[in-house]
Amino acid sequence: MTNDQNARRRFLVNAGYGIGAYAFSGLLPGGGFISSVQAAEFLDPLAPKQPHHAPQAKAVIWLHMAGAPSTLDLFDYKPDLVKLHGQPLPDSFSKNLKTATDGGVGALYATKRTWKQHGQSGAWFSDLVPNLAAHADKICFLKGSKTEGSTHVIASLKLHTSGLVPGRPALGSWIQYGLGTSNPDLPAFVVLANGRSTGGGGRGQVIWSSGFLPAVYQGTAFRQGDSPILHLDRPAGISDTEQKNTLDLLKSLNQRTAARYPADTELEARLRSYDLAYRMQTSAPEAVDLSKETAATKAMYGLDDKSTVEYGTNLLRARRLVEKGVRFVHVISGSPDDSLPDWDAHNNIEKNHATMARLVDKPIAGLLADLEARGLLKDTLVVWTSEFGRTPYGQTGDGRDHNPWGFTSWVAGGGIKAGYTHGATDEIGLRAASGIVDTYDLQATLLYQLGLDHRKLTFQYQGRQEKATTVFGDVVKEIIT
Amino acid sequence: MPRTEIMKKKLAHLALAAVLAGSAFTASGAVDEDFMRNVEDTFKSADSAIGLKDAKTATADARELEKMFKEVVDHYVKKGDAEEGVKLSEKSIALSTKIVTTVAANDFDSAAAASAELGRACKTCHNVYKQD
Repeated sequence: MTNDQNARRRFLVNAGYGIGAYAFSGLLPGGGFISSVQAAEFLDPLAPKQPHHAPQAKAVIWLHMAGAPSTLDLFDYKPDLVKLHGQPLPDSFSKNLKTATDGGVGALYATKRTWKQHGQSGAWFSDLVPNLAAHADKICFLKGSKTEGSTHVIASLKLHTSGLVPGRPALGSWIQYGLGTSNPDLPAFVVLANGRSTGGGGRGQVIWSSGFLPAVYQGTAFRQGDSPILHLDRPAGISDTEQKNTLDLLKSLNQRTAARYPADTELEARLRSYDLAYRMQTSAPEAVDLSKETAATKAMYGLDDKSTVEYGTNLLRARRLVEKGVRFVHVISGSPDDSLPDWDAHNNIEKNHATMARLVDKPIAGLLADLEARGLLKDTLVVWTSEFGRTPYGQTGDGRDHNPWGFTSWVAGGGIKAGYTHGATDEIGLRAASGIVDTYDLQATLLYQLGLDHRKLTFQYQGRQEKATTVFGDVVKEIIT
Repeated sequence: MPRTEIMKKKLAHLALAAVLAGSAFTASGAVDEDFMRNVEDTFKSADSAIGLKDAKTATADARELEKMFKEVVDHYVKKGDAEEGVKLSEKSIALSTKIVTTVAANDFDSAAAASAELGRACKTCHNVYKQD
């Protein structure tokens, strides 16, 4: 490579960084957004970008119930299942059903739930979610949800990346890619997980990966505690000036290499992550510092209760992050201790769901109330979902198996109809029977609310134009206000 | 016979067996999971080519899809009690043909619309017939 070529590339890179500083604030000199994805990528991959159409939502709080709860025991009341308890699964329901699980198909199984309708909408809630029930009229239920794959990892990949094998970008990554960041001092895509158990699978880094998109778009996992990002704090004994000088030198050296290898997105991501990390030494701890939250707010999220404090803390952090412009917060529910495999109740569903529902019920109710009180719910999409649901037939005597054929998800806020139910499962809750919403459709709808067209949000990879939801997915217009 | 020659002969036999197996698959017209994965991958390639305005690939893929969906029609006809499957596969042939004609007319917007509709037909069919 000649010196002239080096100089030209260096000029372009430096020019990019210079303009990138304006781009971070959303404005170019003279006003206006950077209008083209390509131009913005050239200048700064995280610069704010124009949506495809006027958005109704600015952010997503994605509540991933890892391990798969039985929505038949939370929201999808089936009187026929109660009546048929103990009987074999009727042939009329099992036609073409491919059950590939260890426990086989047990008798139909009704748990000891009591059910009540709530709010003006009259939505059904079981006794496991009494706090959430008070917010019935904020919620849009998708009771005809379905997916593919009966294993946690495959179904979780599909839910988050629209792929059945690793390698595709998570929804949060596509959103960052499509819209850029609205706060340059924080990652646009944050992951908050609680619990230590890895039981149930499908909750590893691969579900918040940027896949084939540039690495700069991957999710950033925050830890519990005051220092949310590992090794973010400035080491003891090093002054701010010393650190700044070191980082400036590092940046200069990395920029030279980046100029030689402009296609190296890993290096580009690393360059930006150093800058971001430096800024986040202040912004990230502040974003998750709950000391300024009132006692009433903390109580609303269940921070005064040992059984809800971890999950509640994550949800309160999620609200604070969204308030500060983070676009996508992926909150993963985990077992409060190692005694449960998350929501994955193949046995003893009574104990499992009593614990897991208690873990999330009050904090999620608190989140909905808090978002609404602060005027944030109208443009924040709160999504409650899982990799699949659970079967109406029993397993091992007191548990339920995986059910990809029909389950309930719900969405609140962000221009989605409140107090509304879309779709239904069959009489026993085995399969989606009407208003079927596949994970592709859910993703397409969320993107639409954020101002993105899932068929226009594309990235060329290995010669193929990849779309956010592959070749599938339709916006569920019926649930949009 | 030297060991390398024996290996070569064995590999040749394996290759021949693979070719014959492939022919047998085509001849029997087996519409199984592998076949449907091929359909999906060809569809994704066609959809991508439409987006990239690559007429040659889009046309070739759509022609291939026409043939594949004809096999799917035959499969559902033979299977019986699968009117919806026959209807949706026939619709998929028509949509594949539409991709060919719209691409030939350089109308990639209409081709993209046909491709999106083809995706809907696929999902509708999966909702009824795909076993997870």
